[in-house]
Amino acid sequence: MSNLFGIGLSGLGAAQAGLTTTSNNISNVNTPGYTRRRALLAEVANSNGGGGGVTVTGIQRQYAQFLTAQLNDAQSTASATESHLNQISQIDNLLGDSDAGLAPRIQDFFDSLATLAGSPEDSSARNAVLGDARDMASRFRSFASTLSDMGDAVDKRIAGAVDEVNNNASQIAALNKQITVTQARTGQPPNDLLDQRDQLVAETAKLINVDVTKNDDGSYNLTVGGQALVDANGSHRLTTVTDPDDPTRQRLGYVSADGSTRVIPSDRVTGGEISGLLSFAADSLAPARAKLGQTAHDLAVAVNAQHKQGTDLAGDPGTALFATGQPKVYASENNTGAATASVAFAAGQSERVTADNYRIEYNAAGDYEVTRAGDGSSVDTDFDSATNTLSFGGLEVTISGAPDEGDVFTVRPLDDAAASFSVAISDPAKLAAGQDGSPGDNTNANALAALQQADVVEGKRSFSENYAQLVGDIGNQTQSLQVNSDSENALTDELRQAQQSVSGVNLDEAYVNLLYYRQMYQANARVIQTASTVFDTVLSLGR
Amino acid sequence: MRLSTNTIYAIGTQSILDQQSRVSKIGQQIATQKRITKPSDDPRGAAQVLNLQQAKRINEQYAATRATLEIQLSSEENQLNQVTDGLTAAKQTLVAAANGTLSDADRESYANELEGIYQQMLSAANAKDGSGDYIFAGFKSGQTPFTGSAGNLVYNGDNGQRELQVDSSRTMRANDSGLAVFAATTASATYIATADQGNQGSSTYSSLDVVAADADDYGHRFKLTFSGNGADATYSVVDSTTGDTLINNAAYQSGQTIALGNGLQTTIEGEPADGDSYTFAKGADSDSNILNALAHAVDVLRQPIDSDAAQARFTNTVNRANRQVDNALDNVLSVRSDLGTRLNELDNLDSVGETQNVTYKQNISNLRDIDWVSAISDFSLARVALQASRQTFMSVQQMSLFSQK
Repeated sequence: MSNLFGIGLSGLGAAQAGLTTTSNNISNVNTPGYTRRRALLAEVANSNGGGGGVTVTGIQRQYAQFLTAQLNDAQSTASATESHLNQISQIDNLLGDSDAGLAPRIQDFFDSLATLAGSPEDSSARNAVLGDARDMASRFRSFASTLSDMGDAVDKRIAGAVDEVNNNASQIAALNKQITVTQARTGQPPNDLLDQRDQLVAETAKLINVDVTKNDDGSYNLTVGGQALVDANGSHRLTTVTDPDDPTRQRLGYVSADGSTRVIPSDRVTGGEISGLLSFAADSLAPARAKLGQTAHDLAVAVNAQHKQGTDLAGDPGTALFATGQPKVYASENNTGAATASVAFAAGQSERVTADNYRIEYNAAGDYEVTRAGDGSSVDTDFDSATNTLSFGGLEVTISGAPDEGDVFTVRPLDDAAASFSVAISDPAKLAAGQDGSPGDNTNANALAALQQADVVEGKRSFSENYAQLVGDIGNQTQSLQVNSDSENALTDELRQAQQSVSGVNLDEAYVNLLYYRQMYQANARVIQTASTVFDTVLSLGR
Repeated sequence: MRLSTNTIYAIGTQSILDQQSRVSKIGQQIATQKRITKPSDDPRGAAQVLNLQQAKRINEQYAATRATLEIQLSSEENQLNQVTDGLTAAKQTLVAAANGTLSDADRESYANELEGIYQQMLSAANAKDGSGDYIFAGFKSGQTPFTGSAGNLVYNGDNGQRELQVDSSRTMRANDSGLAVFAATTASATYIATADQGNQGSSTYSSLDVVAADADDYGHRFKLTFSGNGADATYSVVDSTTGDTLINNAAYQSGQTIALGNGLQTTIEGEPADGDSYTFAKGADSDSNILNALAHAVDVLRQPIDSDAAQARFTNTVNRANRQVDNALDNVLSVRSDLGTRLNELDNLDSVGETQNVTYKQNISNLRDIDWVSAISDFSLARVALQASRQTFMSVQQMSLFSQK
């Protein structure tokens, strides 16, 4: 008889557990990373086979491990594309107005040269040429500085994201410890901690692609690009490092146990915001800067060369009209030899200057191997052993001192071309419109104006076509990233729905559960009432 | 499939956000009137627009150059008109002044008239254009082209010709040098006979005829020299171009026709003195500066005719000036007609350029600008879709067991 009370009471407890779990589900309907829970009930065994009531064996998370892992992967890829897209969209917007920007300024400059050809001695025509030249130069500089500011901002964002990854890793390591300890102590999974840890993993996956393995004791191991981020020893750190071969580039690095840092190759970082930012810097920003630099450099060189063939108002030979930046060469930090390198543009070879950076390596055979930094393809090189000078791509690199095998130099020809593009003369009378020293001679002004349509850049494109190519490249990249991003987001959404269909809270369902457990509670209360009635009946028998 | 409440809300929100960004995108296109608002909207189109814009700008630049050129050519044409008028008047004056019955005083008044014409032509030769540059100085547009004393004018300019790009495939000359206008002759210019300044005799040349223009030495320079006086007078002809002596000391008779090589002959009348000579040269080979020739004529008109020799000098100089004026007039007219051709061509290029410009504008607009009809219908459609997403979301959101009363 007392059994009946026990059964009723266990039912009340179970109904209460159900109500609590359901209420918790309802209250956490909006909590990020929350996994819906369910009270697990089991019958209490009884020797007579009639049953001893119900017991709550545990509160189970409705967790779909496989779907969650898939979702994290998809999220990682999608956020890489999205961060790349967000960055390149800034350039895309910058280039948006075809009436603004660089192209019209270049046209203005050549326009005023054509006007100068009409009246070569006219001082207002001369002033207009100088004014338009200055406008064009400042447009080149401001465009270059916008791009370089974007590069700095990207470096900062990468550093910020790396900090966040490190922070998450140390929290995950701490949670690993708490989870294993709690589980050992209570025998029950600490659901809230598990949710927190999975949420951290998901957030980390948005920043960088992480591989997760679950150990038997319930702890997680995380690896990034083959390097352990979280393991049994706790968390390890990522960092940003300057590329030892090329100090202008930021790379992702890993801090080893001994405190030394090592570069993680870019091809190992395939997902997350960090990967997107790295690809933007390497595949979108750097080519855009190089292309802009190439336009500035070729324009300056071609105009200067023509200008020097002319004579100014006083009959003196023309001087350089524009000043532009010089190429740069960097010796790798890891070089062991004593060699140093210097670089200059080869005279009269500007059509060979391409929008590439180069890597020079001194190999075991005692030769210099020159490759393009972008795709690693090899470059035809002439080597003059008398002067120790390498000639390639319109550049001359002179090595002095003895290199060791494996020593590396990085050549960046066009970094400074647009950024330091300026007008070198300030006196309009110094414009060389003629060629025979007379003020009315317009021969050189005609020749300068004709450069506008000449295929100067690499001998194939006009300045404006080269710029249009930059605009087209950025547009194409943005467009294809947009398409990729849309489809990746669709995949992510689909996976999130699938994952949520297992782990998410549905309020209608929760409402039904509430009614259900309320009824269960009422029913069990009725059992107790019945037991009481039965008990009273028995007691009243003795009266 | 079991949907979580979050998913239901997320789907609703996402669909509204998508529709909103579509409405805003089309709205932006309508506001800017451009289909391509950034390169990614149509990368190939965006690059093409830039190239077309450059082509259009260059085309407009040609038009501006043509306008400048037209002004320059018109102001040159004005001066050339003055020169033509001057030369025509000079011709009439010279013909009138050649009349043998005139007194010294009559000739003086013709001299004054001719000097006036000379001054007018000199001022045309030294004229400036609208921006203060000398028209006929070649590249040396800052220097007065013709300076010096009358009869000994020196050209300070050069032969520089400003070429201007007036079309993608056409450059056009913007000026003619002073030499080309005032000191050049055409290919068809006639021979000029110049009596030596020191001639003492009374000989004059009365005719200078072309016998055979295809003769091998036609165009050469010839020198006719007399020696001896009176009945003993003989003449020699030397081809100065080759240095050959063609006739050596042949006996001279007044009114005799003398062959100058194989293509030319002249008739000399009167009595030459020992050592008198004539030079016969064609076109640019002679001193063909018409301003100097006019100045010489003025000079000679002012000298009294008091002897046979003076009469002969007068006749020879006026004859020579006459022929030079003819040659100069031919030359100036040919410069003018060339100028007229250029002005005409400018007009033609202008209309071609304008057509081209319209085509460029059209192409740029086709690539870049919105099609209003489709943009507006897209916009309405997007707005309807947004409205639908909102209403759907609202009604789905109300369907909750929790909101049942």
